[in-house]
Amino acid sequence: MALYEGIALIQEKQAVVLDLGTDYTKFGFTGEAAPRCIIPSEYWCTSERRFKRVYDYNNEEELYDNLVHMLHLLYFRHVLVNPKERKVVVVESLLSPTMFRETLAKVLFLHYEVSGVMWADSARLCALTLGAPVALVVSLGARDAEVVAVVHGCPVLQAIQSQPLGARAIHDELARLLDRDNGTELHLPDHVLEDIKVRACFVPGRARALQLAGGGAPAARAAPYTRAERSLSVSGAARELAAEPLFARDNEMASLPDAVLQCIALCPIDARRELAENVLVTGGTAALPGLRARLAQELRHLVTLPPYRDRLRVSKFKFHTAPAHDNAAAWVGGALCGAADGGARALARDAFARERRLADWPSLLHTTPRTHPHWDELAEAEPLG
Amino acid sequence: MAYLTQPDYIKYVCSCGQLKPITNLYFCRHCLKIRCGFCICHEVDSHYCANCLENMPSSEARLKKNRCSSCFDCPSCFHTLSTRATIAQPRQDPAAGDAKIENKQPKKMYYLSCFNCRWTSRDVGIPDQPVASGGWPERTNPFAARVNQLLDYYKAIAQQEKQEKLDRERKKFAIRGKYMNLTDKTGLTGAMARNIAGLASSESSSSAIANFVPSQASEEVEELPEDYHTQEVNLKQITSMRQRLRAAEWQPRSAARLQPAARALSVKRSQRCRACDHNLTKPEYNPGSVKFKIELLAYYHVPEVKIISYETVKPGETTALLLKLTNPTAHEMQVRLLQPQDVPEVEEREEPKSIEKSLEKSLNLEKDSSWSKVLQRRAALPTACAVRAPDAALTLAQRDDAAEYDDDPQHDTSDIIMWRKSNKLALRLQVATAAGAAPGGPARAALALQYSYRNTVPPAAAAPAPRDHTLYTTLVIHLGTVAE
Amino acid sequence: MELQDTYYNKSEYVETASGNKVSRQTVLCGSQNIVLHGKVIVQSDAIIRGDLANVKTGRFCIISKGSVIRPPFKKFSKGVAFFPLQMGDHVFVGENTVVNAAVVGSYVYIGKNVVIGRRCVLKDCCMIEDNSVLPAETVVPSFARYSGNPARLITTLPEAMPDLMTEFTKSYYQHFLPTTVN
Repeated sequence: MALYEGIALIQEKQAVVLDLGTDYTKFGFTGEAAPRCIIPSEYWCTSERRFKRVYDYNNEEELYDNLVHMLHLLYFRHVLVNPKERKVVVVESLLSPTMFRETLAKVLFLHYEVSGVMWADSARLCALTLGAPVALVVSLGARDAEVVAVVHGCPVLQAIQSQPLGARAIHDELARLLDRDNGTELHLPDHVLEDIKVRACFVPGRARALQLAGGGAPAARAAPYTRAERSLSVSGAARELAAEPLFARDNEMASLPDAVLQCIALCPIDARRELAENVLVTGGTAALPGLRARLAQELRHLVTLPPYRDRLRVSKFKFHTAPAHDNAAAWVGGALCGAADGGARALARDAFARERRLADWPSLLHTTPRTHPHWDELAEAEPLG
Repeated sequence: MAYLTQPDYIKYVCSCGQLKPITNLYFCRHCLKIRCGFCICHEVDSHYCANCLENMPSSEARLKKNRCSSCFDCPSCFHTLSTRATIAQPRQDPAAGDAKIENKQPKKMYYLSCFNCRWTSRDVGIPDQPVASGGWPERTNPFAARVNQLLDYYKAIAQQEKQEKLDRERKKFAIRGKYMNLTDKTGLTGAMARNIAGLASSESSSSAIANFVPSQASEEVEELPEDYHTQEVNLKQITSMRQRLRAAEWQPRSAARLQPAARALSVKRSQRCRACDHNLTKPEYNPGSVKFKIELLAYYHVPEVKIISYETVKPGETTALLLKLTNPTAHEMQVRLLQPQDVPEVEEREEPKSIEKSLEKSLNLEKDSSWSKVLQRRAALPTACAVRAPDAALTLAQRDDAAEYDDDPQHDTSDIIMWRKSNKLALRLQVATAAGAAPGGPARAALALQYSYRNTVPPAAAAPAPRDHTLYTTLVIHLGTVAE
Repeated sequence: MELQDTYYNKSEYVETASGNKVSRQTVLCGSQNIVLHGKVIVQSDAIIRGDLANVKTGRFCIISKGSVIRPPFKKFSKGVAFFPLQMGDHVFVGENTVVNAAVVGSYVYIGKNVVIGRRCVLKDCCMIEDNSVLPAETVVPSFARYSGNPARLITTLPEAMPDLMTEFTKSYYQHFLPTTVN
């Protein structure tokens, strides 16, 4: 009897990896090369009779409900396992709001009674898929573009760059261009814009972009787009200029290549050259044809200009290719990470039940020694549990 | 059925504070409380394919990645593919037209076709198969090999770390003396010997680590062809996002690379009360069956309230409301209408503290019902409208399936009882609306019910639990909008 | 909300001994091949194509106005064959709906303006929402709620679905009354 119990303890159930993105959720098992499902982060809300997005919330309670329903969908419709007594690897952004993390922890530990959760930031996980010691992870998500330098398994926190240059920025520009070219306000829903972007849009090279800006280039070929309600023609300009906001420079220096260079500039001086030679561009938006090439061209051009010319002295940029599709690179990192150490680093449920708090890098609490008077003050302010 | 096609006019307050229609609620006979999908525990019971309705043992389902082995989905519109048969004529020369000489019989060949979007497996060049089921080419993930390399590498590193940690601990334990004794027991330790000899330490000799090649960055980035913008585009040849994500492992960009996708399995779920761990529902194993082994639904245990009709609610006035009460249980029921504030607060009864119980509690700390605090919601009960509840106990007869054939309505109608039919009762009530109710806003009234409930569960051994209980439930009635 | 009474013109409907109420304004082709198992309501302008193959319904089925019940066909190399259409108990078919299914289980709710493609199988306890199109040869599992064009699984139905449908069709039958005046 004791022997069997021992075996049960050793053979732990395969953990699941959850990457809850703004637009798409990736979910699957550790140790596998691709997520089992990539589905929109939305669920059918029975009381409101419509699809509700997980990230549409006004308060913690609403978020809690959203997460409960979303995880129910993921566990019982797609991955078909019992959440109970199974570990979870959560792939999250370093800039994920505290309220979101804590609510997700409550949902996982208290509602679904998972045995442990490993919190891992997406930048480090992306770097894991390379196996290279130093990597500059440029992740282009639904809302934000984040640039994080990972040096020997450690994200350089002071150098994190984040700009609202994700898929939303492209959608907005595409909607504007389509309205302009069709002469009316089309009010296209988000999923149609996404579809047009995915199927028709591309990013022209730097030389061509300059020609286009100067008005000295013939427009690209238009593409007819058929829709049940109303077909429309996607003009050549809309096809190639939709992603231009990512590269538009102004005095703020807030374009995507600027963010990359600023991140390198803020990193320790001995890591800069290596970072520039180990760039990884991921995220769903990175799958746009031509985007990587354009980013490379822009970086090589910008680095020759002030202020970067004097501060960086980086001449070469080299790019990695992750062994995963762009939208699932961080997920694959999570699957590797969760499988490698068998969940030994996961936060156990009883630990969470005792502390009711997650370790988070902006909070110094979990590095404060227990004997520090700060803890007493905290206990007075809010009784634990 | 009206519950599925109409908005939810009547919502019950679940014990966790959520407002739900009675069809979505459960009733735990052991806790005697209403539960809902939010505050109970769901479990996977059995896997089955929703198309061919075949059960699959969960171990097999795990092996096949939760995919059915015989059903396929259309990669283009996600509808189920059908297997079509054609007669493949054996190849023969058009000149030699004599079929009898050919010993080859016409062979049946099969291909997959979608009846919704007319996609066929021939569109993407998949050859027809000689057998109706299976045999379709399977594709492997292009990244699988590399991911497995990485996996071996990281596993080896984790193993090494663990080993080092163990070694360190052992050393800490072993070194007692003030000086390190190199010739302890076996002379030089292995690691030391290797060090002295100038070899790499033994731990890193794992082949996975030694042979691992980190990803190589390159200066070349795949660029679009120079004339990309002048190329003809046909958006129908490019897959949509949904089509790509359906095949999460390949995510083809070109429609010509779509592949039939094995159909994902579905599960039957059983549900369990979190407080007492008893099953609330447990389906039968057979995927085609709609029956349940255990089915503790509120619909079968809690008196059901339905609106027959109501007058439009006006601020500062009383309006009529006709309600129908139904007793779904097999026992007579006493019902009393109350105001929600009159419902006695359920005091958390301290369970008799047996040694076992307290032991169990101390063993698993997290089971201290901490979840209930998180789930607990205070239902916001409306106060603008109030149902004038007559202070009278109403008797509802038990449910009797034969009674619908009887045709003698009992005539004990009074000023509030409109009619009575076997286990049903129609009530004529008044709704008083506050003068301050905002016109155009939703008119909602809360009402509480006190009802007697006979528990038919055989009581636990030696615990003579009372069979008859007085229970309370609160519900919110939606009466349209407040009139101007 | 309780169902409201629906009134019909007494002269328009024929009531059989087993309690079927069938409008005279319907097209029942091949009536010898149509079996209505009792307490079935077939409303005006409904079409049941018994001439193609047998059509069998269970008890307490409601075939609403303008709906078409048509046995499905299958193409073979030697021509076309029609298959019988079976319908379980307590089935509701909404207005202007075309049903080409091979099997419709019990306790099934089909909304209005729905097209059920040929040789579909609707298992017990499922629901097709209004204005949906079910492509041919779809299997709808139990406790599934389908919607859209092509119809897809939206959500699941409550476990009490058999009782809800029973109650609904029975009370529909009880509230389906002849007009008292003239």
